[in-house]
Formats: sequence, structure tokens, C-alpha cells
Amino acid sequence: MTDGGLTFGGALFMGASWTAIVVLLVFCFARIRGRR
Amino acid sequence: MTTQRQREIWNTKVGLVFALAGNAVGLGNLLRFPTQAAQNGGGAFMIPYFVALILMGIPLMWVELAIGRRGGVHGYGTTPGMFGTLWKHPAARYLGAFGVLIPTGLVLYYTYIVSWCLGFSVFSAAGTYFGEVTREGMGTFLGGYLGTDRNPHFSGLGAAYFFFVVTVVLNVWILSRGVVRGLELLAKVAMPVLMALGLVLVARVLTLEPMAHGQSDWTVANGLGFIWNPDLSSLASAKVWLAAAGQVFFTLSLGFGAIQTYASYIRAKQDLALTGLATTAINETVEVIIGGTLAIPAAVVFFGLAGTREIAEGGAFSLGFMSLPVVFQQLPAGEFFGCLWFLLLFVAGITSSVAMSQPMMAFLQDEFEVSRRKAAVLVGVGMFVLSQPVLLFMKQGFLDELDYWIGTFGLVVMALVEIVLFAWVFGMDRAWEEITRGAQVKLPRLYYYVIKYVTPAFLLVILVVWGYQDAFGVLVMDGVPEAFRPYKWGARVLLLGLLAAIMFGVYRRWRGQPMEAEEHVHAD
Repeated sequence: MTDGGLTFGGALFMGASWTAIVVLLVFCFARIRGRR
Repeated sequence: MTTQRQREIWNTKVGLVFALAGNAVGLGNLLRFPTQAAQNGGGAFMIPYFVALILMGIPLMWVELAIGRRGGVHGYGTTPGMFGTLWKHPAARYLGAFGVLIPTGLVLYYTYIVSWCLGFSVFSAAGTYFGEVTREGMGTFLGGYLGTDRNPHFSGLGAAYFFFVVTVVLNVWILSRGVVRGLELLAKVAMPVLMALGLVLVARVLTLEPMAHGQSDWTVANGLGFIWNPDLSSLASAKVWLAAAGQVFFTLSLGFGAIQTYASYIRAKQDLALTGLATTAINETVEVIIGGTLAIPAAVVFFGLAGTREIAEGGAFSLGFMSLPVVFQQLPAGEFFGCLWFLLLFVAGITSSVAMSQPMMAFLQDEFEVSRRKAAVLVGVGMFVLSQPVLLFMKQGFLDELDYWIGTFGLVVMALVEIVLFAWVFGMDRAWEEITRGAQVKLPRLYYYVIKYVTPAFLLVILVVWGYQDAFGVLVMDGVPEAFRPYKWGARVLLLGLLAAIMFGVYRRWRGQPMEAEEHVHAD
């Protein structure tokens, strides 16, 4: 834990995690809607 | 049983995914997750969390979906029948009784907590607690509401009972409408509403300006840094790994018995792999993106990092019901944002409380041919009556005792039992065929080995370490005041009584029936 704001590494980790989750969400719903 | 009644089936794929997501998304995503993250060092928590999600959470989700769909094909909506199809031994059905006990035990206190969210959304809109501008003041307000403290706002448990009854009636009404017109319709409405509420609140938190208390480091960026700045030293901490694994369990509703029941309403050849991934993706959106951005960063802006750590040490209720209301009071239109926050919790909670009630509904409907409406009323009355000690003996730790054995220890035991039955007794080749049948995405073969070896080993380690660290102390009531012990014993007797009743039900239902009689498959 750090008290010095969001570091570059933290921003990268957060951005990568958010992106991975959103990409998974979009991928899943694209497949679900495509084959309904 | 050779004659089976027609069971309901989810109407649409999107409805199924929303219903499963509604099952998984709950108070754990918005309250428990930020609290656990803050208690375990913020950035130190997230790496073990994602590892546990990939190696344990997602595989277990597929396992539970596969066990549930297989059970539904055989006409079973709960784990006693389902386990009987995996292991041809009478003991399997009695082990399955835990899959009815856990969600039923959980719902006894979970529904009560969900009702607090409804109450606090009304109190926020009406500004009832406005004026209680410290955490101590809000703690007294909450204590007054729960009857554990005296204050000028509440003279007894009247308000708590009112919102509890409203929540129970709402549960019964949704359950009585059945799978498609009740659970699926609720999910189709609730999930988009939940996302919208969450995103409005996220936008509000991300635009919070530092407050004028002269603390330049009390900012949203510091709050996000607290959660996200990675700390690799955590990888060596058993405590953090256990907390992360426990959170993954709770957030995905694994080991509850509720995912299996929802999966029993899936068609025999319908996809599970993509369904499980989509459910996980929605759950993680609400947990990591929404849950991770709301409570902690907002608390850091108003209380600073040290204050936020202290709040988190006080637990999820300290964060959600005592600290954030103090924050709302300092925001323009705080009544509105406070109402949105508690409505968000309520919507997340109600979709989970109906899911926890559904296994008992299915047990009554499928195994004892009780009509849907009658089962819903029985579940509602049972929920209300058996919850009474939770309401009346809150201060004495009745809820905490139930939560430990059911909501913490029980989940891991149940998950270990089901994965051993599925991957080892039923056999991993057949299990893999069950999971991948009808799959709309190709699962990596690596997961065959993960499910067979890694996930059970992960669960076994959690169980052994928890048992060593906590369970024995809780069992012998280490540090529990003498005056509270009878109430803790009362919680145990309630759980054992409930388990005995469910096991008696299993005995009555399958008395004298050979295991071979179960293979009358109704595929569609």
C-alpha cells in the first residue's frame, strides 16, 4: 500500500484489469447475441 | 422417481446470464470487496484476487453450472438429487443436504441486511440521518435502527421490522411468479438498473474535489492508488491469499447451492462455458470497476488513508452504513446520492436473496410436489420466523455465528465436496464432457487439469489453514463473553435443526429407492 497517489504501475494495473473485464464482457455478449 | 413434472426453463440466453449475474452480484461486490481489499493492503490484495478468480472461481462456476444442468435433466433442482446422479451411494444425497442448508441459512440473515439497504435509501432521501455528521453519530443511528443502541431516532425495532417485512413480501412475490416471470424478469430489469446506478455513482466519485480540510493527499487518485498500486510482497502472505480466495467464493456465490439450482433450469444441450464467463464478466464489472471505485476512494477523500484503513478494519457495515452516509451529508444533493447508493445495494441484494431462497423452493417443488405459490409462502413464512433470533439477538452475535459457519466455512466445505464428487468420483472425463457439451466457446484443455488438480488443492489448502487458524477458536468460542455464549449456541442449534429437517426430507423422499432408479433422463 502506498500513500503517494496512483503510480504509473497502479494506473497500468487498473487500466489492464478494467480493459480485460470490459473486453470479456463485450466478447461474451457479442457471442451470446450472435447465436441466440 | 420415474414420473417427473414439467420443470421451467429460462426463456432467453440473455435472461439466463442476467439471472445468474443477479445471483452472483450482491452486497459482497459493493461492500465486502472494498472492505477486504482495504483490510488486506489494497494493491497487495488484487494480484491474489485475480489468481484465485482464474484458478478457482471460474472453474468452480463451470463445475456448479454443469452439476446443476445435469441435475435439471434428471428432474432435480437441488444438490441432494444432483449428487445422487454423480455418486451412486445413498450418502451422496445426505451430503447434498448441505446445498439446501447453506442458501437457506444464508437467506435468514442476508434478507435482513438487504432490508437495511431499503430502509437507509428511504432515510437518505428523507434526510433522516442528516445531522449525524460523524461516524460515531452514524454508528449510534445504525445501532438505534438495529435495536442495539438507544438514540432519539428510533424507540425500538419498529422501522427495522417494517422494512424487513416489505423485503420478505417482495421476495415471496417474485418467487411465487416462478423462474421466467419472476426470477428472469427481475434480473432483466434489475441488472441494467444496477449498472446505471453504479455508473452514475462512479462518475460522481471520480469527480470529487479534495475537501477543504487542508489535507492535500486526501484525493480520489490516492484512493485509487490505495486499491491499485501493486505490492508484490503480498504474494508471500498466506493471510492475503486466503482473504482473496474467500472473496472470490462469496462474490460468485460459489459453494452456496444457488448456482446449481439456477443451472437446473438450463436446457440439456445449452452452452455453459460462455454462460459462466459472461456471468463472471458482469460480476467483475460490478465488483472491480464499480465496487472498487465507489466506497474506498470516496472514503479516502473524506477520511484520508489512515482513516479509511481504520474504517475498513471496522468491517463492511462500518464502511457502507456508517462512513458513507457521513460523506453524503457533505455533498451537494447528498440525499439523492445517498438514496442511489443504498438503492444500488438493495437492488444487488434482492437479486441474490431470491437466488438463495430458490434452492428451498426447488426442493419443495421438485421433491415433494408442493405448488409454486405454496412453496413461496412456506419459504417466506419460514424466512420470517427463523430470522427472529437474528433481529432480536444482533448485539449478542447471533448473526456473526450464523455467518461464520454458513457464509464462510460452509461454502468452502461444500465447494470441496462438490468438486471431489464431480471431478474424481463421477470422473474427470465425464465431467469435462458435461462442462463442454454445447459450449459456444472452446475451453482450453488446461482447465481439465485445473479442475481436476489445482482447484481441489486450492480449496483443501484454504480449508486446512482456516480450520487451523480460525475454526477451532470459533468452535470453542475463544474470547466470547460468557453472557453471549447461549446465543451463539442458539445459532448452532438453529443450523443443526435446519440440517436435520432437510436430511429428514431427503430420507422421506428417497426412502427405499435404489440409486439405479435415477437414470430416467428427460433431455430436451
